[in-house]
Formats: sequence, structure tokens, C-alpha cells
Amino acid sequence: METLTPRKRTLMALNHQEPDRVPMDLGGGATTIQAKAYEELKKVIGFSKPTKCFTRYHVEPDSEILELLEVDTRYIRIKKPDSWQLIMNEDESYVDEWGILWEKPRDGLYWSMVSAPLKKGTIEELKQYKWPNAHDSGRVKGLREETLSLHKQSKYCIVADIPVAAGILDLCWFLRGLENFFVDLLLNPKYALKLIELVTEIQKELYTVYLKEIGDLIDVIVTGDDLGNQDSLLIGPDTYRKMIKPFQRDLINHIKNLTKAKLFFHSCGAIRKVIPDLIEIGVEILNPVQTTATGMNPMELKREFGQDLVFWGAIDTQRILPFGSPKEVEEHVCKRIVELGRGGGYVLAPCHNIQPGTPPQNILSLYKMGKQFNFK
Amino acid sequence: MSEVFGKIAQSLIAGKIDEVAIITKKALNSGSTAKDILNQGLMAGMGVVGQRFKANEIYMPEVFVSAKWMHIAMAILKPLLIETGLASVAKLVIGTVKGDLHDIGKNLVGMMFEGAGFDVVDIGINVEPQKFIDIIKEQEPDLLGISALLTTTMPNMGETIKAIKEAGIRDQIKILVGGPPLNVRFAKEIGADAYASNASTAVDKGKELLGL
Repeated sequence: METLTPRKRTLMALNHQEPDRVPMDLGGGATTIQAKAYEELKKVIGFSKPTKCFTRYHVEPDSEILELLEVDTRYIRIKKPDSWQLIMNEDESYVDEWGILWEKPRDGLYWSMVSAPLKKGTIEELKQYKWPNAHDSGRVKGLREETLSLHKQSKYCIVADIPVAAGILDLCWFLRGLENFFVDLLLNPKYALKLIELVTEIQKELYTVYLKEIGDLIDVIVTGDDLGNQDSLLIGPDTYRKMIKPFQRDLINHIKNLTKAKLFFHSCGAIRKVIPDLIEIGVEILNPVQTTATGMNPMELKREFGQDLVFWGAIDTQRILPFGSPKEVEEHVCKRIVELGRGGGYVLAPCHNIQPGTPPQNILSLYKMGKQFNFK
Repeated sequence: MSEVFGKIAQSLIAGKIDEVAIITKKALNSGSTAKDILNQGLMAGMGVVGQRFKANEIYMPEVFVSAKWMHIAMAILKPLLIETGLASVAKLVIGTVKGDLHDIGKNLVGMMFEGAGFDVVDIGINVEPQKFIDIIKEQEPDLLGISALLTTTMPNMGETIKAIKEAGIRDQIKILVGGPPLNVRFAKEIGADAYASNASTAVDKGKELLGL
């Protein structure tokens, strides 16, 4: 086999052909490393440049480290709008451009949503609400030049990270509160559909602005919506199909009119029951493949859906990567490649961001074994 | 009479919010006691909701609507229950550990325990060990529930249980822990009495620990 560039390797896998080895990813919104974990990794490697984060504590890994680990992907991301600025309060809380309040415990590691702004649950409130302006030109300032520069190298698989804070279902419950929105879905569906429609329209506008700049230059476009938790779907399949799926389909169709890049869909959790639905609406790559969640057995997923889906992720970040030994990590990587990588259709990545406290040696073992293992 | 309670349970399970007040008041007017409506109607209904949720036959929206049904009914029944001096089944104090702001699972667990007739005191998120101790002394619960979502905040569960031991009140309560990154082995290591993998199982485990 000719020596494959990272891009060719990844495209082969995305087209369900088996390359020289499984392509590897690090650096996406759901596949990067948390700042504290990155600091520890840098110490062990002996790398001392300051850490850059693209949001909160999500690290933009340095190109030297991506080269060292032989990661095949490179990310581009939408910029911040000019009309909105992140203003951090003294207690490190802030309100994002959707109006959602985020807080972090003192000495804590993560921000979480703590207050949903749509309190009344009325259509009038939706009409009055100050929605983000998708067409703010700050979002794409310099983006085409940056992407062109990567594209011209023709070396890496270029992944355009998600241009919006979260998915459709995600944003609806972030804005309205989980209990309120989930009750609205059943008891006030007219209101719920209006909110879903508004959120979808803004998402479509954001993708339009983004992909008009770079849609012709990228290999993968990221979208997503967290539909599951550790052991179940958040909302039932019937509710999902009636209330959310039509809008996800609309969004995906819209994206596919703007780019030929492969459609990457992120959903955490136990989502087996709706994977056929995701395939039906045009999902080509499924991430993160949380194999510790109920029903997400990788061999079964490959057997049942491997013809239609590429699996991207699947390296356990709940138990093995943070708490296993380097040997256990290597064995885990081999197992996943055997389960998911035959005939292509697999990109190796942590099945969510690498957490603080993850031993650097485990991270190095993950990528070392990913590089070494092949089927021949 | 059991037909009355059956109707109440069915309406709660189906989440027919528009009929809560009518059905509950009708039952009271026809001679059912608040205690029987609670035990044989509401708790029976929530028991079915819990089992169906555990079996993935229904999901969070349906559970929230049934819990809302129960709240509305309880608002009607509570004054009558207090009048007759009725104690709840047992008391649960529940909170998310220090450093962790996640509460979806904790809230669901709280709803399920309320549905099972427990008095539930939810002390919120990002709870310091000392606050757990203070609330245990103040509320005297039978059961303590501790929740964590993150691998990075799980260790704070161990710290919390250690602090409870050092405060000399460990023997007063049973401790139940839960959250996605946890397992039985971890629960044992940190000195919890039990681990529950989901909200419905939490009620089963809680009752088992208390011999109910």
C-alpha cells in the first residue's frame, strides 16, 4: 500500500475501506482534553508552550503534540461574534449568547448550566426573547484563509467543529429548563414545537454563515444532540420521532445542501433505539460511541449498523482511560479496533474529553497502540 | 373502594393533569381517607411509573408529568395528612457532592422516593461535606443519598462519608450513592451502604437498606 497521508487514511476509513491503520483523532469539542490533564501530559512530554483553550477548559492541542501522537485530524472552529462578549463575573459565572447562566464551583473543573432563561413558557415570551444573531460577521473573520491554509497542505482530515453551543433538543431544555421543557413536550406541544422551530432556524442560519465560508474545503462537518444518558434515552423514541427528529432532518438536509463533507453526529449515552432514525435522516459518522452506556455494545453496533455508519470514538473515558493501567489501555485500544475497525468505518478517539487525573502515560499508550495496531 | 384507587393510579400513570383535582376530591368526598388515597392511589401509581421507567418503557417526560400529577394531588391531601398526624414512610436527604453542579439524576431519584412515600429533603448541588453533616444532624434522616456525575468529583463522595464518620454520626443513617461513573466496587471502597444505577433501583435499594 502507498504511504497514506493522514487525510487519505481518514477518508478511506470514512468511506468504509480499511486503511493501513485506524485513523486517530484528538482536539474536537467532544474529543479533546481538559486543561489540567493537558498540563500533566505536557510535563511528561517536556513541552512548555502555554495551553490554549477554545472554550472554557477545552484544549486546542498544539500542533507539535498532535504530530507526536500522530493524530490524523485537524480542527477549524467558528469564531466569536463581534456583537457579544464573554463577560466573566467575579465568581466565574457568565451568561452565554443564548442567555443561559453558567456557573463553576470554586476550585471546580467544569461549568454547568444553572439557570434557564425562558421562565414563562409562553409563545409571547419567545417572540420577545433576544436570540443570538447568526449573521454577525465576526463569526467567520479570517476563517476561510485559515481553512485554505490547511486545505492546501492536503495533509490532514479537516473537521469543521460544531458552530453552535449544542444541539436542538439540548438548547431547548437549556433555555427552558429540563423539567419544564420535558413536561412541555407532552402537555404543551404547541409551545414546545414553536421553541424547537426557533432554535432550529437559528442553527440553520449559523451553519449557512459557516459553510458558505468553508463548506468546499472541509472533509467532516460536526453536528449533534445529546439524546441519551448512561442507561436510557432522555426522551422516548415516540416523542423524539414526533417532536425532534423532523427538525434534525431539516437541519441535516440544510447542511448537506451547503457541503459535501461527511456528516458527523455527536450524541452521548444509550441511544441504540434511535440509531436507525439517525441513519435515516442522513447521519454518516456516529460519535462518541459511549460503550459503557446500556445497549452500546461495539460488536453489536458494528454488526447492525456498520454498513451505514462510521464509528468515531469508543475509547472509554469513564473507567479505563482515567483509572486503568497503560497495559489495560493498550488492550482496550486493540479490542476496540478489532471490534470496530475491520473494513474501515472507525476513527479512534476518546469517547469524550480526556479528564483531569488521567495519567499522561495512559494517553500516550492510547495513541501509541492506535498507531501500532493493524490487521496485517 | 379499590376501583377508586385504581382510577387515581391510572390517571397518575397516564399523566392526565386536567383531572387530578376532580378525581382526588371525588375520592375524598366519597369517603376515602387521605392516607388511603396516598398509599393505594398515588404511591401505587408512582410504583408502576418507577417500574416502567426502570424497564425503559417510559422516559423522563412521562415521569415528570406523573410526578407533577402527584404534587398537585399532594397539595390537596397534605393538610388532611398533617391533621391526622401521619408520618411518612421514612426520610431521605439527598444532594450532589462538592464540586459537582449536576442534578438531573438526583432530582429524578428524589421524585421516585417521594412517589414511594418518603419525606425528601433535597439539599441541592455542590454540597460541602460539612453541610451534609449539618443537615443530617438537623433533619435526622433515615437515608442519605449522594450523587455525582463526574469521574473528577466521585472522590468527594469518599471525603463526605469520611467526614460523616469523623463527626460520629455514620451509624445513624444508611448511605446510598449513585451517578454514571460509579459502580458497586467504588461504593464499597468509599464505605457507602449501597449503590444504585438508576432512580427506580435507588428506591428498591433504599427500602431494602431500611428493611421496608
